[in-house]
Amino acid sequence: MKKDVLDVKKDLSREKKEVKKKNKAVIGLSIATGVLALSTIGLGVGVAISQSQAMSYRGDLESVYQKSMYELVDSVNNTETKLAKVLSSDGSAYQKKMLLEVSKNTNEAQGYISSLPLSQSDIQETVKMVNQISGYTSTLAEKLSTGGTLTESEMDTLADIHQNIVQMKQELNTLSRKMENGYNLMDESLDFDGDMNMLTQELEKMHDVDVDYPTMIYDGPFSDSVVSAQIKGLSGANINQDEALERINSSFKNLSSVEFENQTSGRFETFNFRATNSDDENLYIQVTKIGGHILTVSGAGNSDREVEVNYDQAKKIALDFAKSNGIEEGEVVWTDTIYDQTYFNIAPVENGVVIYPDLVKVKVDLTSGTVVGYDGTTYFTNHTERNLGAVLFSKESAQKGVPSGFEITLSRLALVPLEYNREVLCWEFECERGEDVYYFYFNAKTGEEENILKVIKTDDGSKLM
Amino acid sequence: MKKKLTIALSAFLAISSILTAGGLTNYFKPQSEVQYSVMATTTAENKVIQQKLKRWGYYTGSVDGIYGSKTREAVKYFQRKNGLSVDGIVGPKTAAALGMTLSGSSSSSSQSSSDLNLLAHCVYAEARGEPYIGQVAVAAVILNRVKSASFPNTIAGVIYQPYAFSSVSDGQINLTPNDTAYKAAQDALNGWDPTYGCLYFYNASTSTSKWIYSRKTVVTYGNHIFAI
Repeated sequence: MKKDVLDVKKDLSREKKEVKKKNKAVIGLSIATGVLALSTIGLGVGVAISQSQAMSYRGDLESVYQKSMYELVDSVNNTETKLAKVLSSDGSAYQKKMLLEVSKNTNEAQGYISSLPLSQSDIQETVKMVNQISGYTSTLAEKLSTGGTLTESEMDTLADIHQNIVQMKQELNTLSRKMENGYNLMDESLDFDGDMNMLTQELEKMHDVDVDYPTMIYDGPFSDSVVSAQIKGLSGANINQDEALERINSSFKNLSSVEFENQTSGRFETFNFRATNSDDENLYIQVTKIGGHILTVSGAGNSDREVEVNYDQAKKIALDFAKSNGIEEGEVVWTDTIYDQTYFNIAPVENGVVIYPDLVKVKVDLTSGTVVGYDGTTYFTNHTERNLGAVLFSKESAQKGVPSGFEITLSRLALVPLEYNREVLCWEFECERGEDVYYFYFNAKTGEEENILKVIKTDDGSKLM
Repeated sequence: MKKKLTIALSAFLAISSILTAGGLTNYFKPQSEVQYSVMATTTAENKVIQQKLKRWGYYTGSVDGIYGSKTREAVKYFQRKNGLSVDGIVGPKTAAALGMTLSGSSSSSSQSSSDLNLLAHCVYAEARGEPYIGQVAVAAVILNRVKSASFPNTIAGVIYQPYAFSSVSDGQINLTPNDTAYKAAQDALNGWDPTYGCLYFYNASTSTSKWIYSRKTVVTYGNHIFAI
């Protein structure tokens, strides 16, 4: 009996234990399930949040694109209308006003085209045409403002331009209507067929290879005539690679190694060498195949050392280097020290006239006192025997053109490069007003004011505007 | 034993799912939040800051006027040691503690060098690790595009033109440029153009565009081919 009771007790306690065990297992499992459920919800919420964020970013970007597209449509519509008005008007004052607006509208259009997700390589010709129209129309407006009239051939070119703009307008307005019905610029821009995306394809007629763009030659920015400036200053016989190396060794006395790297076959044909100087600075030196002239030297210098050369010493180093490269008498016309390097822009002086078009640029490292940069491309592009002609307007009479309130600190004769490959002999006046420095240029033959430059101070030095 | 495994497994799942969700959220955050540096001081002022911090042992880098990560860390260190709010930016209070006054907005004639900064960012993002001349060349291509009729007419317009630079799409443009990138950008702004008017450059081993091969090659610097 006692045994039986004991057995029952044992059984009971075993059962209890088993129930407890089961209970524990159930609790454990439900905790696990709970955690799993929570984590799944967490994941879901996380994904939902990031997706909704992504959607809102997409929405924002699409709005930016659509804004650009609508603004583009507007500016092209305006361009078309105003060009049509120019073509049907005889009054030069009205034509001038419309041309200036066309110039402004096309300049804006260029900005909008370039901020849309269009395939770059396909849209280039369109951007070029729009930029050229802007330059061409502003040049024509300037001509009208100085008493000129539009010639027949200019009117013909404007008519051609108008035709192109009409086509562009049609394409863009079709797309604009589609946008109103839900066409998504971003989706289409992400859908590619080779290099070209669907959005670019949509505007096919705008950049069709068969479109005949008018050639626009004028004295203004982006003209077809100023694309490739001729090289006037290279002289001498063709040299080979060994002679180029000799040329480097005679010009740089402190090189510890020079190695041939490769050749350039661009506007200038050069042999290129990689060199190290005794101050452990890496240089990259280009020597022209014609005449064996040092064309450029490029180097970053070494910024981890103390400055050991002062400005005057650096200036002498720069002028000496320019002299060894053909600038017999040079004048430092601009200088700027950035970090531990000083840039010297040196213009040749011929018969007392500063020849700005033949500028060379020398960069001197102030820690080692060596030349780590040289750019002779401008010099070799422009340098030539010039006949400057006589000065017809005296310095005293030119000086009257400087407004009162400016203190003249320097005056001299200078040959000045103006836009579009023009060179003009000028009286140059460096002036101060308060803390600001200005340069005035008056034509030495006509007395006309050609240019005013203002020195702008920036966080990293000064520049001319 | 089994339940422990189950609990461990579910805990692991929970943590990993939260991490994944967090990761996904992060993915859509603009990178610039983390990496963009604040240029509150001028180069000249930065040099003074660096000199002072170097003299007092907070800073070990070079005195170059560039407010890079090393300088920022040194400023944070200085701020922590001197009971200032630690943000790595030299504001009026930190400047006072450094014993200097900032020019700040009082000099209205000074402009920010945004062109140089933007150009340096693009050079660093596109060509860090390339030889110096290759970095100048990349900056020159950007400036040549500004001058060209076929491209936008500002540096920002050219750099941010859609599909123009991969470093803009993937956010590398926001990395802080080093000394060399700034010098290369400055050289190009000063008129150095080792490409003689090139409008394109590409890496032959990674470029996927067929069109680019139709352009005339002018010169190769490092891994980049420059073309017109």
